[in-house]
Amino acid sequence: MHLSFFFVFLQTICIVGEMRRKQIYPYLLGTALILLCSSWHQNVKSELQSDLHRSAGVNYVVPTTHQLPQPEAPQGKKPFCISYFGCNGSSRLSKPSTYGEPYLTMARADKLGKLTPFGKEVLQRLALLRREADNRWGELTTMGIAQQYGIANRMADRHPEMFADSVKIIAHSLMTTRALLTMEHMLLQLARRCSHRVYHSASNAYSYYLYHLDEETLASRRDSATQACYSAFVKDQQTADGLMSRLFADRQYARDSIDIQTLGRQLFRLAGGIQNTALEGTVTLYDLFTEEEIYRYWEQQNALNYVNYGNFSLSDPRRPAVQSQLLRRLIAISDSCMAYNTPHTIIHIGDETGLIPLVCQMGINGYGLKTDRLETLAERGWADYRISPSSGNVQVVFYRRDLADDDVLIRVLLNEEEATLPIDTDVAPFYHWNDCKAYFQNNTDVHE
Amino acid sequence: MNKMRAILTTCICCAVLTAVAQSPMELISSNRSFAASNYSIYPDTALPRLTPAPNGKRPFYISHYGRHGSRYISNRKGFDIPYRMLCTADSMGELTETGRKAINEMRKIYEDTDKHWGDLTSFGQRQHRGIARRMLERFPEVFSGQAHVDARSTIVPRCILSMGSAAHTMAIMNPELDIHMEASQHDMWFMNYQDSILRKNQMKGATEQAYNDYITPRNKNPRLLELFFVNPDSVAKKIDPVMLNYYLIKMGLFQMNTHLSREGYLMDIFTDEEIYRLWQWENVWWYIMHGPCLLNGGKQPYTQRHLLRRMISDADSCIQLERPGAQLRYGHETVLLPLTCLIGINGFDYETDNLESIEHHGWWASKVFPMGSNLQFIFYRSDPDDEDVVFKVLLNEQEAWLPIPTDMAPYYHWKDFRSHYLKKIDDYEQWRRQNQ
Repeated sequence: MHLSFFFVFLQTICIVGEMRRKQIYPYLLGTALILLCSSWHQNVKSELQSDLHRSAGVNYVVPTTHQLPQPEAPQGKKPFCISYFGCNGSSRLSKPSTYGEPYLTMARADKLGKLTPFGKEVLQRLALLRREADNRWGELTTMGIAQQYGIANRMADRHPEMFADSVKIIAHSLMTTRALLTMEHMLLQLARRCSHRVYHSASNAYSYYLYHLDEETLASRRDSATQACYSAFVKDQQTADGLMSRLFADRQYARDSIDIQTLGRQLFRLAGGIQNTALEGTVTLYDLFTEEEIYRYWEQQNALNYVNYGNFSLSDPRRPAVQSQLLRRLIAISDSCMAYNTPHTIIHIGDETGLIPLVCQMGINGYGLKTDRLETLAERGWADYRISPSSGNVQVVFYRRDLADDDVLIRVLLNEEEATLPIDTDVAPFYHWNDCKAYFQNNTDVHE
Repeated sequence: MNKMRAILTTCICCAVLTAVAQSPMELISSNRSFAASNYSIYPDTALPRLTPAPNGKRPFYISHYGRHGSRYISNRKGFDIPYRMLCTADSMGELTETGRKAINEMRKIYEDTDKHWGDLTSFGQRQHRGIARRMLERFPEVFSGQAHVDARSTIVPRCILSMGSAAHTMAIMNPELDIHMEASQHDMWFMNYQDSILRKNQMKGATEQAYNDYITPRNKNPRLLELFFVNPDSVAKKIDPVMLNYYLIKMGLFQMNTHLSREGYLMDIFTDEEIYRLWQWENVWWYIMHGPCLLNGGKQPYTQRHLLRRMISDADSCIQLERPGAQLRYGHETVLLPLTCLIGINGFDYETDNLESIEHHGWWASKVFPMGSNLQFIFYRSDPDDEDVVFKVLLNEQEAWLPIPTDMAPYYHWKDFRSHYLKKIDDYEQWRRQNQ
């Protein structure tokens, strides 16, 4: 944070002196936003303490987003293209075993009379969760549907000129049911706002960028050095003793017959998933844990997401990103849209395995950080719930005066909030597309 | 008097229709897509006008089951099998100019289709936009204001996209519609039920023998070998000529569902007669696998008893509501065809063990299940208290007839329908319990 303040201060001194009055105010607004972003990085632990739901990471449900004031693009430029990549909306957890295994573990213990009264109560809650998810594993919930309606409405409200009648929309989705329904519901809400011409599709032909994890890089994320690094980090985070005594009356039984570390992680995962379903507000599992335990479980999960999808540098510092095809795709299709007078909205629906690498490779809000020191992620602001919550998304909005304008500007939103890029700009919060494109292409070239 | 008039009208209509009805061969000559069976294109270019609503009654509810729209071939086996045969011939130096043109076209098809196996095409999206638009135009009373539309799909991506295409069109035409979309494993027990007991009896023993007896005179095409190979006899020893003919015609037919339909060369190779024989082969296969074929017991249509029961119970519930809206269900031809047979729409409950007779009796699967095919039950009443709810069935948006009595064709009394078919399903389930 100190470095960013210093950098911004220096930049401000240099630039303000050369700017005319009209240019100063948007610049100062952009600067303020940068500083605000920087301060966020220091507050991960207090954020988690203020709302335990954040510990769900990629399953975190962001409270209803309110529309931020929209800055006016300089020189009368108007939006002409929106490029959107988003995760599927709120969903139940994917696998039957996620619900079944902890339930059966507790049920077996209960049959043997080994649970505390609290443990018995937890067993009932697990039964309820299991029933609610039965035959609906991994499915988009009504909350997920509402999220898409909200995102579509706010997108159309922000840029009404982009959603006048006959706007062209190209939408691609992963082949999972929840991703497809996420896309269809977003398009449905846009259809209510304007009569769009839409081509929507889901195909294995798109998996090379929607769900492509570079195999070599993935292999390097699973090699012995990486595993050792992560294992060492997790070992320091072992948390389950307290949980054992809360749930099991017979500690000897729990030590001999239960993999308590695994059970703890399973229960933590279930706890985070509830907020995506209609059971939120009715059932909770957060009371199984202390605040400190929740924070440690979250740190383990966050570190794993960083190792798997972030710019983890241990194994191959030259290739920190897990994939580059999605960013390449976004560059290429955005460039294509520039040839048209008709506004285009390009929608891609994937999941966190696409969004987290994309955000990291673009360097949004400093999340491109490269490190092998997993214990520093939180203090440096790298938090999975900030990057890729339920319905997490990146929106890049393109602006120009007309078809002949070769100084296209962009604005980036992460989860519908103003975001920054590690690229110089004299029109913050806007960036020159040519500068961004050069930076992104350099990143993808380096990766490949 | 009214009853006499209705019967007389029906007889006259049947006579007229019989006189002007084209044979499958004639249909194929004028539109080769008909021969594609389940790959045929949705016939939406010339839809007839619908009969006006019965006196004093207005449409208030629609219950629908529809197939996804045009798609690419579902897996690469349909490409690999003929392609490898032609490559074998090519490696022997045996391909004629026609054979070389064919193999080049197949490579173009492969490039276009690769990784899109089974995907909905832009044709398919357009089909469903059109079907939805016409539904709203024809029955505005059902879709006015904040009417509720409950749309469900199987969990197959092309069905979800088909549902989405329809829903978007409806929302554009009436943004106030309360549209709910869902695709869940939870619903598959009626949306796409797989009856393993019935399935295992589809093609065994005498049934398989009868099938082979039917197709053997029809599945050879020596002319194709002469066209493609310099020395047909030596190539025929290395490949399967029957499967080559089958898959090449199929490949030409299924390309009609994609943008390559405008450039196809494969279809130009074959005569109408050759394509007709392939249609006969497939038609009989569909009859055995999903129709009321007596060779395997005549029970295959009952695979869709859960769906029919569900549609009846949904309709019963919706009729209680003041404004029920519409229920749309998006699935597959392997559901729609047996459902049509189970209900006996347009005579598709024709039972026989004589495979040579089904064509003469009009059991042409292509008329039921082209891409985008659908059944719509349109319900009418005078007001929410009207106890005589009537309905009609549209098969691919054309009025259809049912094998139950009516004094107001093409409309039927709902009470008659539900009691007839609930009994039919109950009788089957009792028979099954006793015979399993």
